[in-house]
Amino acid sequence: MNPELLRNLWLQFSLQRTLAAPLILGAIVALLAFGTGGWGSIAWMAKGGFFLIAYLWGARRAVNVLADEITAGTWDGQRMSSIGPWTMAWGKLVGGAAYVWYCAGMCVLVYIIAEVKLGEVGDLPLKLALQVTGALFVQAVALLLALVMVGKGRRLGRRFVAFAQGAAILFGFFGVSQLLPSIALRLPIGAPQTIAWFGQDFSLDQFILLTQCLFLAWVLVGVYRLMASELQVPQWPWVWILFSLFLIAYYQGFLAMDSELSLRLVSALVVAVPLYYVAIFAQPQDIVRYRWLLHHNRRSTAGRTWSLLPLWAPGLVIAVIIAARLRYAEAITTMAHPELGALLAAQDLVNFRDLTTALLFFMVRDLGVVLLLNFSMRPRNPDLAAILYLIVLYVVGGGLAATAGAYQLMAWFIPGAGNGLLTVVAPLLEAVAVFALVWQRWIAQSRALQPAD
Amino acid sequence: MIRVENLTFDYPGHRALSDVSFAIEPGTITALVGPNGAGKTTLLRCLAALDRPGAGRVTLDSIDVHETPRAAHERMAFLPDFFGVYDDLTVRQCLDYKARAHGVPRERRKAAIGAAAERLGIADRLSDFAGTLSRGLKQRLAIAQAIIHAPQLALLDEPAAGLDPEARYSLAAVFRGLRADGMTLIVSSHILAELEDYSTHLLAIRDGVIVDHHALQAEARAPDQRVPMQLQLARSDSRLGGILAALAGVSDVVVDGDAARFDFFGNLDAQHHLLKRLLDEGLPVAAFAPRHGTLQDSYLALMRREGKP
Repeated sequence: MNPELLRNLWLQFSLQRTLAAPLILGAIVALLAFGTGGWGSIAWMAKGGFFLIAYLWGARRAVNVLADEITAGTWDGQRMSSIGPWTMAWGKLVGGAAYVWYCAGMCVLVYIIAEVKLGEVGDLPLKLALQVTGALFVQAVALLLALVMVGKGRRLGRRFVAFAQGAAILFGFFGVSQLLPSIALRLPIGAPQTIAWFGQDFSLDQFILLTQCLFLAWVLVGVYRLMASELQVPQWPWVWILFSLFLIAYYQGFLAMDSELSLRLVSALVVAVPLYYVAIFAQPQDIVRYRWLLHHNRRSTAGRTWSLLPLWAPGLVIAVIIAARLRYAEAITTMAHPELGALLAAQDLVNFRDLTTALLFFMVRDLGVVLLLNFSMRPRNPDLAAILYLIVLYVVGGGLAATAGAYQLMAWFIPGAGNGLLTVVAPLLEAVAVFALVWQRWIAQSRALQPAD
Repeated sequence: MIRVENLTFDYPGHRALSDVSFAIEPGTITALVGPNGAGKTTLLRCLAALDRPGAGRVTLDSIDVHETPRAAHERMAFLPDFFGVYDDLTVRQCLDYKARAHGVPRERRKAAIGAAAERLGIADRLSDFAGTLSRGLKQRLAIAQAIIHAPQLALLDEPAAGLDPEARYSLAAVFRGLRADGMTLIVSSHILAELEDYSTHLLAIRDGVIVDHHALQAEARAPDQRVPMQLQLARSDSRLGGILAALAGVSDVVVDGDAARFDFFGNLDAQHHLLKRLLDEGLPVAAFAPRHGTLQDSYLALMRREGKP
C-alpha cells in the first residue's frame, strides 16, 4: 500500500472520527426528512453538503497536507524517503482528503437515494461524474498551488492556506466549470445549452465534464512534475510546452471550423500571452538560477541547462512564433487586398503587425521588471512588488494618459496604443531601460559572488 | 564511500559553499565543525540531495546523489536540525511508516522496527503517541526513523541540540554503536566536547571552504600521519633532545626538563619501535603516549590559524 496514503489514513481515521461522521450526517438527514418531509430538500441538502465538504474542506485539506508537513518539520524526512514522485503525489492528494471523501461519499449516497426516490435517475451518472471530477479538480489545483509556493521557497502559513483554498475553488469551480464554457456561450459559436467544439456538438454538462477531465489530467501531470522537482528529480520544460500547445488547441476548438487563419492566430496569441506571465510568476526567478543556467550553457552540459531553463523562455518563443506567423498572414492579406492596407493607413489605425510587436516588447519589459526585483541583494516579496508595479504601469499609467487624452503618451503604457513608430518604439525603449537596470544588478551580484565558473 | 568534488552552492548575494572537495572513508564518524554561517547545514543538505548545488558532484559509492536522488536516499539518512515527528501517530506507526517509505520489505519490516527501537532505547515506548514523548525521546525516535532502513551513511545536523547532558551521553553511545555496525556518520555540532566522545575525524569548514580534514584518533590515522607525542623521564637526561632528534620519523622536538613533546610520523607499531629504541638508548622512560589535545583545542587552534579566534 502507498505509505503516504496509509499514514494519512492512520492520522485521519480514529475510531471516534470514523463513527462521528455517519452519526452527524445521519442526524442532519433525519432532521431534514422529518422536518420537510420531502426528498427534494434532502437531495438539495446532500448536494450542498457535498460542495461544502468536497470543494471547500477538500481544497483546504489538499493544501494542509503539505503545509502541515512543513510546519511540523517532517517534509525533509519525506523528501529523503524512497517514495517516488507519483506515489507521493497521489498519496498526498487522495490520502490528505481521505476523510473528506469519506464524509462526501455519504452525501453522494444520500443524494443518489433522494434522486432515485424522486425518479430523476436519467442524468444521475453525469451529474455525479460532474461533481466528483469537479471536486477532485479543485483539490488537485489546491495541492498544485501549494507545491508552486513551496518551490518558490515560501512558507505555507495560514494566510497562504486560505489564499490557495480560495484560488483553487475560484479557478476550479468557477474557472473550468463555469467560465470556460460561458466564454464559448458568449461567442457566437454555441447555442444555449449546447457547445460546438472542433465541429462536435456537446451538451453543456457533457462539455463541462470533458473540460474537467482534460484539465484534471493536466493538473495531475503538474502536481507530479512539481512533486518530482521537490524530490530533486531533474525536470525539463517539455511538459509546459505540451500544456501550452494543448491550451492553445483547446481554445481553437471554440472557433468555427472554417475560421480565418488570422483569427486562429489571434486566439492562439490570446492564450500564449497569459501563459507566459503564469510561467514567470510560477517559478523562482532568483539570480542564482540564471547564473548557473549560463554557466552550464557555456559548458554545454545540456541536462543541467534544460533543467534550469525558466518556463517563460519557451512561452516567449511560442508567442514570438505566433506573432511572426500573424504578421506574415497580415502581409499576405494586405498584398491580396491593397485597399485594406491603404484604409488602415488612412484611418491611422494600428495594424496587427505593430500591435503584436508592441505586445512582445511589453512582455519583455515586464519580464525585466520581475527580474529586476528578484535580482536585488535581499529580495522581499518580489512577485507581489512586480504585480503592483505592473498594475501601476498598465492601469494607473494607462488610465491617466487616457483620461488626459494623451493618446501618444498611452503608447508607453498600453500595447498597441499611440500612432506610427511610437507604438513600437515606446515599449522597446522601456524594455531596454529596464534590462539596463537588470544588468546593473547582475554586475553588483556578480561582485558579491565569485564567478559562477 | 562518499566523495565530494568541487561543490559550489550559492544563495542570492552569498556563496555558501565554494569549490568544496573531500572524501569520507567508510566506518568513520566525522565531526563537521565551523562557525555559525560557515556552510555546515548547506553542505549536509547538498550531501543529502535535498538541495542541488550549482556545480560539483557528490557520489555515494558509485551513485551520483543529485542525478539519482531516490537511489541515494535508499542508502543514506539525514536528520535535520529542526526535525519533526508525527505527534498523532504512535512510535510504532512512525517507525512503520518510515520503514515502508524507505522500501523495507514486508517480511523484514517488523524486525527493522524492533531493531531500530531497541538500538535507540525506545522499545518500551512503541505504543506511546510521539507527541507525548520528551524532547530527548523524540530525538531518539527521529534518529530511529532516519536509520530504520539501515543506511550506509547518516548525516546528522546538530543532533544534540536541546538535549540534557544525560541524553547527550547516551546519544554518543548510540553513534558509537552505529559506527560499530559499519555505518558512516557525519555529525555537525557546536558542542565540541560531545563530538570528541565519538568522532574519528574532523572536517572544519569556514566561509564555505574546507579548512581542515584530518583523523582525530590513532586508530583512524593513516600510517604516515603526524601524531603529537609526549614523553616523561623518571629523571633528567641531557641526551634526550639529541637522541629524539636523530630518530627517523621524529620532528619538532621540544624538551622541557625531564619531559619532551614531539611529532612522530607512524602508526602504533612504529610507536612501539620508537619506545624500544629510546629504552635501548638507556633513557629512563616513565611515560610515553600520544599527546591528546581536545577537539576544542584543535578547533580553536585551527580557527586562530585561519585568522579567526
